[in-house]
Amino acid sequence: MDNKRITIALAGNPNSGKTTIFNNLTGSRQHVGNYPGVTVEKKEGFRCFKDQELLIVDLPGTYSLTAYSPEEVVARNFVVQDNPDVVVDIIDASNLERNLYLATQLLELEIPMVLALNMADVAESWGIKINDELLAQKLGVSVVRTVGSRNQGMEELLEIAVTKKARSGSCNINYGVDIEGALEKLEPLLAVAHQELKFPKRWLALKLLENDKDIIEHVKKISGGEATVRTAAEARAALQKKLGEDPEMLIADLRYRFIGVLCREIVIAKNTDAVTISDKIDKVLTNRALGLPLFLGMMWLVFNLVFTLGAFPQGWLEKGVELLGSWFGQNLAEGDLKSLIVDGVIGGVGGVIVFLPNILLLFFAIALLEGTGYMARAAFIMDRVMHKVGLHGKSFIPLLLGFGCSVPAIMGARTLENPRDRLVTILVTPLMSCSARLPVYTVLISAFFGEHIAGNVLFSIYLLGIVLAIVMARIFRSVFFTGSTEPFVMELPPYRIPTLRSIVTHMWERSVLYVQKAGTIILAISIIVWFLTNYPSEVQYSKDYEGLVAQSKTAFTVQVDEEIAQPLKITNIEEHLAFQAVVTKISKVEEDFKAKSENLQEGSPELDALKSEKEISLRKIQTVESALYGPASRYTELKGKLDDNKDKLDKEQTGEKLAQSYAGRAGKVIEPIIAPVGFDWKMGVGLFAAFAAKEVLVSTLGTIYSVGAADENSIPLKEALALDPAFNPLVAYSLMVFVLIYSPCLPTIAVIKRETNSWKWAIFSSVYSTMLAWVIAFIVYQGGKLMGFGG
Amino acid sequence: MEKIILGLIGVAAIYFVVRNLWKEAKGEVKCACSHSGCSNSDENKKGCCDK
Repeated sequence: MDNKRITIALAGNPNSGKTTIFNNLTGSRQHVGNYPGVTVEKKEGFRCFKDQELLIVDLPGTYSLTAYSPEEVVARNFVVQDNPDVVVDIIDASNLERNLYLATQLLELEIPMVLALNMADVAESWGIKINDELLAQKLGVSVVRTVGSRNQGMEELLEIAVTKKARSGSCNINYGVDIEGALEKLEPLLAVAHQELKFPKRWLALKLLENDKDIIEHVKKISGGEATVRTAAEARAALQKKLGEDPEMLIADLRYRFIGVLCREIVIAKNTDAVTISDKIDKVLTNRALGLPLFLGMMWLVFNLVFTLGAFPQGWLEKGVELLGSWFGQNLAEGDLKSLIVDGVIGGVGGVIVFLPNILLLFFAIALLEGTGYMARAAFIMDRVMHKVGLHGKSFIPLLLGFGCSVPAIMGARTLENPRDRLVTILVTPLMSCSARLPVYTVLISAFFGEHIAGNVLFSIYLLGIVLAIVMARIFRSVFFTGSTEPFVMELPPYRIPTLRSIVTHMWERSVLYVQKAGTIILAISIIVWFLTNYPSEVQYSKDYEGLVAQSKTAFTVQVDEEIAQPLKITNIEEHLAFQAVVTKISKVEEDFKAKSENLQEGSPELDALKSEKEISLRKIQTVESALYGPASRYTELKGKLDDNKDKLDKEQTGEKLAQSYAGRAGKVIEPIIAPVGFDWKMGVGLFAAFAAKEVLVSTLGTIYSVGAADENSIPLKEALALDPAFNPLVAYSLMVFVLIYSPCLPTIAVIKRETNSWKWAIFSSVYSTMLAWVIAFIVYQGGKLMGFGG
Repeated sequence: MEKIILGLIGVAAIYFVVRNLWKEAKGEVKCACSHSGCSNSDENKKGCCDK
């Protein structure tokens, strides 16, 4: 043991604090949460302790070694097949009786073991006192008190594991004359199985009586195994006949009786019937009438905060990106390289990076949801609704996790025992709005919806995702996966205040991930989109734009000469200082008015006030410059018209160039399909590119609008969108609905394939959701138009 | 010169995106967050004994 790596497996019931202890022992930052089923795959970490290298394995939680769900199979297989040197059974001390069930099964395996009485502080605060010395004596194993959240007891735990103090215990459960008789009969037949499978004979015999499918398969493969399995089946039938109950149930019952007796000896409990704070909170939060409205109210609050609070830092970042764009714009030599950096990279990546604060706020809310224990309550509240669609409340946890990212959410469906429920949950999870879609919503909402309804619009999109997931689950359940609903059994953990460390870690990791994504895949796609929107550089225009600009300039010069210069007898009006000074004064007043009145509505008192202010300023100029005011005013008017016309022609020209670019041509091909839902080719190109990652829609639009901008000044994407006539609030909402529903991103499709072990379901998920997206967006857009929301 | 730089950037971007998408399609790219289900063999070797 001294010269090799020691493998320590952390086993235990779900939500007993295994991952927290794993993080403490290894310095890892694995995700923790206060609900059962956070860990669905085993995690490995290393630690050096007293010159000994330790491989510490965090296993998914399991209630027993008779595994039901896939993540329980992972835990059981590791303990049973991988022969770890020591198993640390982490026991929630505040829930001793139920947690000891797994301990008794591990003891029967006769493997070196340590019991960690975790959350000992919580147990004590509830008045539960455990005589750990007596427990260690009764079970024959070492017992250590730990408080994972405060990093207490870790050294003692390792000390025992490393210094060979971990030993195989014994619990000597007497299963009664009949079962013991059957065990005695089976044990001699399992000598070869014991040699080959390395499990104790008694444990193998018990598993055969419990009808454990996995062990039966293993025994069958051994010579003479078929006969042993047949004998075990006969013994099971005989026991069932004699005792009137399934031996599996009887064995479980007898284990619980043993634990009951043990607990009476080792636990001194006070006030166990007292109503805890968790109970009091639950009376309100899981109340039959109040539970659902409170859940929806909390969601509404979260999305409003994500939008309104996030808007401030988002504005600062926008300003920063704008300044960066302007700096590069001014300091780089004219050419394609400058356009690539300013329009492609800054326009694309910058457009995505500004939403980092909103993403962080969303993950802060998710961390609270997971850490406090409300996640399990949400599942409980939604159980009634989920039952109506043929699933149960547990399926709602992966759906809620989907607000963060669909990949871990889909893997979270492993906690569902029934493969049918699991598949339906996997298929509807991508309908939940993941964080990658948040930038799309935020940019569209800030461009087209007023601040007063922004949070509600965002909430409506998230709610639509939940409703659609439920409706689709109902459809899948009645079309593809018929069958009865499983009962919902899930423990509600006590409410806890999440540690600051876990929240900050969670948010930090998400921000690193987001910035990483922006700096890699989004950057690369933005560069490709820039090329596709900028080339071919030689374009056949429908009009002679340069000629038209020159023509309007000539017309301006002639008009100025006839109407102003000749009557005033000025030969060169452009260089006439006195005249140009009056023109500058008038232009300044006009520009000030334009800038201030931009966001004001016609007829509003603010606009009226600005108008009178402008009139007063102009009158002042008129009084001082009475001779030149009239002609200068006319000159300003003509100049304004000339500039407007030039802008219009420039925009038309860049629009035409963009439409003839490779991206434009490709977009035009798909435009007929997306036109009925209100989208033009630009949105089509964005949606196509966003198949790689949903945020790419924002970066793609950012690049397209930057390339398509007629002037040099970079403006935030939301402003560019607001100025585009192809957009209006209805189109924006339809686009949000489409983004919410259409095909999951590629990593999600890959994980669906991995979890269902079939490309068929992965492709189905992509196809059905895209078709559904089109149908719902069509209803929204065409319905909205019929109701007069077309804008 | 500018054309050469642009060409190189373009080729590198296409290579990166295609490689990434291909790996993702094969399920090789691990999600980097710590959530169980992501990064399935996240081995933290900090503090390991020197061999």
